[in-house]
Amino acid sequence: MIRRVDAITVLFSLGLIGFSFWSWPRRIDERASERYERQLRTLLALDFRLNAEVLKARSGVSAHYDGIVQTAAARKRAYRELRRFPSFLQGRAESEIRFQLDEGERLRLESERLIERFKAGNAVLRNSLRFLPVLAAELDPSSRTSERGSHATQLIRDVLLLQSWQDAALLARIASEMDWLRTAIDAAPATETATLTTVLAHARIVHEHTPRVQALTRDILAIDGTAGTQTMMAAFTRSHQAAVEVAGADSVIRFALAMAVLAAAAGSVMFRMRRGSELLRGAKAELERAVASLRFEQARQKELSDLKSKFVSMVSHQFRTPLSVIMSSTEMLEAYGDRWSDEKKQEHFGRLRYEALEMSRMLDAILTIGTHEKGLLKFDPRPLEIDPFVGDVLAAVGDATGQRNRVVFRGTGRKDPVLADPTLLRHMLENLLTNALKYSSNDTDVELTVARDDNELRFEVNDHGIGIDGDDLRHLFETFYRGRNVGSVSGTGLGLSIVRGAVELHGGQVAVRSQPDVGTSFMISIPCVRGPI
Amino acid sequence: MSRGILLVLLGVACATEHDASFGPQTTFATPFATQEAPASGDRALAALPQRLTLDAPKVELGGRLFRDVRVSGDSHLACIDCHAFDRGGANGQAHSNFPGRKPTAVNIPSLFNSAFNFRFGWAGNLEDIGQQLDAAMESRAAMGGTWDDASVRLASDARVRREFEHLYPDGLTPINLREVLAIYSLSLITPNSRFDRSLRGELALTADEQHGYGLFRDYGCVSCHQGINVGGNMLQRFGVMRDYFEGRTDLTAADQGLFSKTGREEDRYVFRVPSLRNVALTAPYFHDGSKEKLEDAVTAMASFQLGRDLDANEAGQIAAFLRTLNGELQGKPL
Repeated sequence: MIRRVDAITVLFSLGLIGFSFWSWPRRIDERASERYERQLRTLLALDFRLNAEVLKARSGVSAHYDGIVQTAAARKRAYRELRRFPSFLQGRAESEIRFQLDEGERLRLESERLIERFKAGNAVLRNSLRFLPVLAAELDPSSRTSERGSHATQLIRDVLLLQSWQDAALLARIASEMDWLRTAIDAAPATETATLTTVLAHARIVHEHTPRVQALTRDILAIDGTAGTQTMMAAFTRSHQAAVEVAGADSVIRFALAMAVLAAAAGSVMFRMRRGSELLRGAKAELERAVASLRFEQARQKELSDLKSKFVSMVSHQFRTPLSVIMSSTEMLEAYGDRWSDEKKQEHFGRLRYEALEMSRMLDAILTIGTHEKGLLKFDPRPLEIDPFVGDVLAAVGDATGQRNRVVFRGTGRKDPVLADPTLLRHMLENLLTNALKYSSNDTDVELTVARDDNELRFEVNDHGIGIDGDDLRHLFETFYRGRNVGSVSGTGLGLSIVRGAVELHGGQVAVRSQPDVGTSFMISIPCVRGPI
Repeated sequence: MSRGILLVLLGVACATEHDASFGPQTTFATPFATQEAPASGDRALAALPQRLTLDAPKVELGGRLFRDVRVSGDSHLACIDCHAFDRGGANGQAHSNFPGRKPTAVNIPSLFNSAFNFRFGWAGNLEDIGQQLDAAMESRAAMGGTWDDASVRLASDARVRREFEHLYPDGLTPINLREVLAIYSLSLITPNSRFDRSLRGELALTADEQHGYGLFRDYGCVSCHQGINVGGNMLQRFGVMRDYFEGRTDLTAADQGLFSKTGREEDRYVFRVPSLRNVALTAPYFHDGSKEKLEDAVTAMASFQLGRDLDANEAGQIAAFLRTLNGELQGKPL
């Protein structure tokens, strides 16, 4: 689940990154956009301001051209700035604005060329207009009353009048006055010549420059850069609005993707937290189990250690008894052997042999269980006719215990052999029978019943002895375990372990049913594998 | 992992607003608009501002390179050799002739107060200080080199390189070298002339100077030499009333004025009206350096431009007025 949520997170993340990169060129840089719009408005204003500055200079309201020069420079800068397009301005709008800028620049250059001519011409014109009244005052007093003087004065008045309106008749009159004066200068006295020549020169300038400057002013004002600027503003606004709409949609998608990434990431974190707590719980349970198992193991080790101690004391005890019998019989034979009858000596020799056999059997049992625990006990089945085999075992047990007559044997009554390991089977039956005889009184019977069908072979050994306590039953088949009520009856605590081992190697089962002071029944069943007939 | 990705993504999502950057500044904002320019316009002249807002570290670096011969092609000439401070930003020669170079075609104009010029060069064809510097760099009579070579030569000087790296992200480049020199040139303004101070009411001009100022206005000099820079804001034909070049048979391209650059007949003999600030220090006069004395130049101008023949007294008074236009450079009187 977590992997799936992580995959979704990564997917959304990649989607967000991809979309962000893809929509990057469509983003709107609002600062650049505002700057551009401001620049367009500035350009519009500058066009008007420049015209106003030209008119101020033309009329003499302004006595210098700094205003014109600075406004023209600002307009030039504005055109340069407008070439820095905001990123969203693309396609048709950009080419439209580019076209208008080219056109505007062309008009600007044309306008500046006219303005330069205007400035130069207007400077000359204004200089003459300023100078003519000075000249009028400088006219020789004697000449003022003369015809030359009155013509000169009239000429000055007329060229000044020309500034108010340009009348064809007035222009013609000025031209004829200048012609008259040019002719009259030749006849004038030397004192007047210089002044009259100057008057004539400046009048000529005013006469020529006034219409020229006026035309230049008209031409400058006629250049309309504002239409182009307005077209640019319209294109910009259209493009901006479209870009805002697209960028708005982009933002919504980006926001949705970011939210999806957030949700997926939160989900991933939640799942991880939940799994973490599960793991923690599992780990805790595992720890508890380990602790319990450790405790159990500890208890088992203690039990084992107790058993081993018990075994050591038992073995030493068990060995000590026959050894002491052997010692005493040997000593007695040594001391009295020569005086005892043969019969008496045979009795002691018999006792010696019995105790030695007893010790040998005990060692066998210990070795057998050791071999079994190491997993080295061999299962070697062979065809076995069961009733005679059990009879042999009974005889052997009878020989060893001298209590053959207590055992009531019920055989299978069948002669066909089964496959079984005779050694293991012997260990099993010897132990069960010896136990039954040992832990029951001599006046009770021990019943051994062997039964078989096609599937299994069953043994049942019943006694009417001391029985086994319920607590002891659970540990009965453990190595070195002996019931608490065994009293002085000798034993190794290994017999039933060997029984269980032998049964298990046959793939069978062993069960026990017992009641203290009533009796005990061991039931064994092993799969019946029939041997070759 | 997913949290890391998330942060990156939110970063990407939020970073879509930023200011676009643009190319290097290759033109310069001249003339400077200044609040101290005459506001009403009814007065033809105005005082210069005390200072301009410029990038001080760039001005300082530009100032050192202004005196550095490695800027020129043969490492023999510095900017200051042609624009000497004790010569009003010019160099006192009609046609400068430096060893290993051909003579200049024109009398070197002053570099002072160029922040208030609307055009550059005698012909007025150069549109800003950058173009003026380019012309000086390329001219065989002047620097005779290229910005590329100059920046390579200077790059061998670790100190200069470091200073550029400190001022520009891309360090010492031809464009940046040109810019610091341009900014330094613009910084060379000469405020606080006696005339400016009289306009501000801080002192009174002498009677002669006052009278000269009156003649300057009444005779019409002020028609062209006007504005905050006392000139420098328009083009005008040299010889409005009388032909300055009459009878000359040795006319050069430089004598043709703007015509030599545009080929338009209307531009023949048209020149940029120079600023008259510090004019008393920049002899000889005119594009051809034909007048040694200020009074002679005044007389010639009155004759050719105004059709007025001044007597010695009038020329002297106008010259006296013009001497009041000597200002202070970097706090020191010129």
